[in-house]
Amino acid sequence: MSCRRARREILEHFRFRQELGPSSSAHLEHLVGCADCREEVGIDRALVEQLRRALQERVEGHAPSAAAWDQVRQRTIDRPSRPLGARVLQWGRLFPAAIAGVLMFAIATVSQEGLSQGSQSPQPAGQVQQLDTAAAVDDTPDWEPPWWMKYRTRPPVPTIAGGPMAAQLPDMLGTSADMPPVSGRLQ
Amino acid sequence: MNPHPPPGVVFGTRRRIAHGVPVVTKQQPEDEGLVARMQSGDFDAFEEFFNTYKRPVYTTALAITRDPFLAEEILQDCFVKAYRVRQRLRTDCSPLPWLQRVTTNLCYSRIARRRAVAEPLTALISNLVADLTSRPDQIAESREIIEVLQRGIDALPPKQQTAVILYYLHGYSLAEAAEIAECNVGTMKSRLHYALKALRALLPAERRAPAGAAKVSTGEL
Repeated sequence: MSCRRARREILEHFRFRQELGPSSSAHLEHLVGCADCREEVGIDRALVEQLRRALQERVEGHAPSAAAWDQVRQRTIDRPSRPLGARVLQWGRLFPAAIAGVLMFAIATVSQEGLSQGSQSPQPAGQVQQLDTAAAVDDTPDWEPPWWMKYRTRPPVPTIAGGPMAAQLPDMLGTSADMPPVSGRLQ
Repeated sequence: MNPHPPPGVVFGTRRRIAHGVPVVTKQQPEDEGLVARMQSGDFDAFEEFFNTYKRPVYTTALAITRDPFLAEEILQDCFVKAYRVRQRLRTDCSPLPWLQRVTTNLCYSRIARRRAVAEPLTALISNLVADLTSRPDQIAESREIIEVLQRGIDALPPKQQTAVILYYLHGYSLAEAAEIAECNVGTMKSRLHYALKALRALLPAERRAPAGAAKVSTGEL
């Protein structure tokens, strides 16, 4: 038996107060004949004893003070229960913040809806090809992003329907003039 | 989810069932009905509850913080919290595991981790080794070894520190310590193993055991 296996078994016995079973006899036999393992196990056992002493020293001579219960009682039983009105008032302080949150969410949702609807306007077939070339190279967006867009973590997705990018799409894709109309947003 | 959680599981029922922790914290006769009386508004029961469990809670807090004043604050916070959630406490098992769990959480949320400073520790070990050559038998059992261990305990990660305190100070079984720490028995064993390994590494080989105690005799087995 290897020293490693024997030590593992015996160390568990000392560390975790585990019972040595019949299968442990081989480990014990190894321990009898191996001075290194005996020393190793002895060191470990002594460490555990010292550790227990060290932990005991941390708490020896200390006890909760007599005032501890009085303090706990003051904070629990003797604490006057607040009337319902006071509790409602406390929650009422949060009311303006809640209203502000709801309003911000509503504004953001409405703006997002408006943006989506504007980008999904129907396009007549063939209109893409009839756009002015000068307008096609104009990169200026035809809409102003709402103020909250700068707080978005993702940049806004460029729309192509009705915008200047729509005219460039056939060239970019290399398709012919009979390409079906494009609408919606690039994903 | 198991509709019949085993007794002994106070909080965190779902996780505990998943771990299959053995039931270990049966209600003791002395605290039978204590929680139920608290829940029915019996203030005397709360005082009795405090007096029954203040000692183990305080011991845990003191062992972790090493500060009697902070330990007492944590003791108070723990029982104030117990009072506030008394309606949620299980009545069919001991509340001690829950109290210990709250205590350890309060300790680690209140104190900054106090890592042992490498420099003084190294110096201390060097002194120990130097002393060893002069008076090996006496020095080996000196306070300084205990002090090295104290610093080593402080430097342990919180989970290992809790494991060591629950197992070696309170003397809980592996299953009980695992229940308090909300882990399984194997994890608790592993934490203790690594804690001992770390502590042992702090001590130089010649100083790891008191003189004459470093070898286990086969007769002890």
